[in-house]
Amino acid sequence: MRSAEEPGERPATFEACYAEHRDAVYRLCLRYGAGRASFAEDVTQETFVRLYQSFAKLDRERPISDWLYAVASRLCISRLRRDRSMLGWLARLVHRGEEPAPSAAQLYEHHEAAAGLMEAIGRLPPRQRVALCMKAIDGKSQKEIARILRVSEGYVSQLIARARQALTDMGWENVE
Amino acid sequence: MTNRDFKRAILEVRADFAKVEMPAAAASRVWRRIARPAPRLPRAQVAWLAVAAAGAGALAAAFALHGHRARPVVSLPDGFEVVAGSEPGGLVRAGGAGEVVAGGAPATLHVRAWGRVTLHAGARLRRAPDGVELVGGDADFEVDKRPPGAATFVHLAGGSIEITGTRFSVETRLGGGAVRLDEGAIRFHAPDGRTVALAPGQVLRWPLPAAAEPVPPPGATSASERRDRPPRADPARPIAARSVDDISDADAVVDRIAVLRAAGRYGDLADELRLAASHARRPLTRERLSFELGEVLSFHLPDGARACAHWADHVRAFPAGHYADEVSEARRILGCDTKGDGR
Repeated sequence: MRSAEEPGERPATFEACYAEHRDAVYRLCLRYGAGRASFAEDVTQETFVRLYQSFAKLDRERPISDWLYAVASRLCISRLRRDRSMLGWLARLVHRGEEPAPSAAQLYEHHEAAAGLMEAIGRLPPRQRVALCMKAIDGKSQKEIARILRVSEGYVSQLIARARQALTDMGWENVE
Repeated sequence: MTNRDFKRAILEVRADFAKVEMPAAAASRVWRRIARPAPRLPRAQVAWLAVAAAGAGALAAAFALHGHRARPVVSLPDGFEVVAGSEPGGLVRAGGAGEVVAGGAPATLHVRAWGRVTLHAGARLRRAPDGVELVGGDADFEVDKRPPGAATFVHLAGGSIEITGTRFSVETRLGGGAVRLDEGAIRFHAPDGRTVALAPGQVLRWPLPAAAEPVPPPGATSASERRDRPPRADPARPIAARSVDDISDADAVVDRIAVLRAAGRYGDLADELRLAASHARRPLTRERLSFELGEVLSFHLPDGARACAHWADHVRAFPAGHYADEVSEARRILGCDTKGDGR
C-alpha cells in the first residue's frame, strides 16, 4: 500500500479516508485472497469498520496507510484461517453462486506466470501466504512484517522459508 | 525463463495489481454498509452466527424442557436493564468503563430513575452523575418527567443536551451529530458556551456553525446599530428550510445530508438535496448538490430511470463538471446510454 501521506496530513474526515485508501486496501486484500473479489470486499469492509471505530483515537502523526496496511493484513489472516475451517466451508456453501468472483486466471488474463503463482500462493497456509506476499510483492522487511503481524522476526523468517520451500516443491524456480 | 519463474511472476503480479481499483459498485456497497447503523456482517461471520444461533436455540429448548426460569442473557452495569419485548437482549453487552454497547440490532434499555433509551447498532451509553453520556452511535431517548429545576443531561463528544422531560433522538458521527426533538424541550450546550433551545420538530446539528461575527462586549454598539444588523441564521432550523446562501458553501448541507444518509432515509435525502440545490446560487454548490442527488438516485434508491434522467440533466447543466469521471462511471453502471437516457 502506498504511503504517500505525510505525517500530520491525514484526511480530516472518515469519508475522505475511505475515498483515498479504499483502492489500496482492496488491492491488498485481493492479493492475499488470491484474487477473490468477495474476500477482498468483505475484508475491506471490516478494515474500514475498524478504522471508523478507532478514527478519533488514532495518532495523527503517523500515516493512516500504515495502520490500514497492518489491520487489513491481520484481518486477512484471520479470515483466511476461518475460510479453511469447517465453518468457512459452510459459509462458502451457503453463499455459493452469490457473487461471480473472478478466478486468478481471469484476473491475470495476459500473465500466465502471475496467474500460476497466485494460485500456488493461494494453496499456502494463511500466515505463510501473507508473510510471503508482504516480503516478495510489497517489499516489506522481515522486521516490518514481524511488527505488523505481532510475531517475532525469527518466526517471520521461518514462515517465509517454509513458503519458499513449498513453492519450490510445487515446481517454482528462482524462489529467493 | 519458464512460466514457473518466481521472480518474473512476481513482477507480473506487481504490474497487474498496480492497475486494480475497487469496482465502483463494490466501493458503494461497502460504504453503504459502513455508513448504515448496522454494517453487514462478512459472509463467514454469518455462518458462525447461524451455528451460534442454532446452539443458543438448542440451549433455550433444553432450559424450557427442564422447567428453568428464564435468566437475563447479559449482565449489564448497575442501573441498566433491557426492556422486555425490545430486540433480543443478547445483542446488548457490557463494555468497558460502565458502558452498555448495542450489538447488531437496536435494543431498548430502562435507565433507572431516568428514562428509556433505544440504542441503535453499535451505540455506546453510560451513566453520568447528572444523566447519561452517549459515548458514540445513535440513540432515541424518552426521559421521565422531571420536577421544575431538576434538569438532566445527555453528554456527547461535541456538547451536552439539557433535558426537562422529553422525547428526542440523537445521531452522532465523527466530530459531530444531530438531535431531533419530538416532544418537550431541550437545550443544546456547545463546548464554546453557546446554547441553543429547541422546540418540538426541530433538528439541530453540531458542531454549531462558526459565529458570523465576534459577539461584541455589552455597550460596544448602540441598540439601533444592533437592530440594523441582519438576523443570524438559526442553526436549529433544518437546513432545507433555509437558503443555502445562509452558509458559506455546500459543506454544511452535505453534513446534514450525511445524517439522513446514515439513517438510511434516502427518500428524504433526495428531497433535501433537490430543495437545497434549487436554493443554491453558486454554480459550484449547485453542481455538488446535483452530484450528491445523482449518487443517491443511482445507488440508494431503486430508480435507475430517474437516476439516468438526472445524470442527463446534470451533464447538460455542468458539461465540464468537476465530477465528470464519477458521473460517467455511474451512467455506465446504470446502463444509461443503452436505455436511451443519454438525451
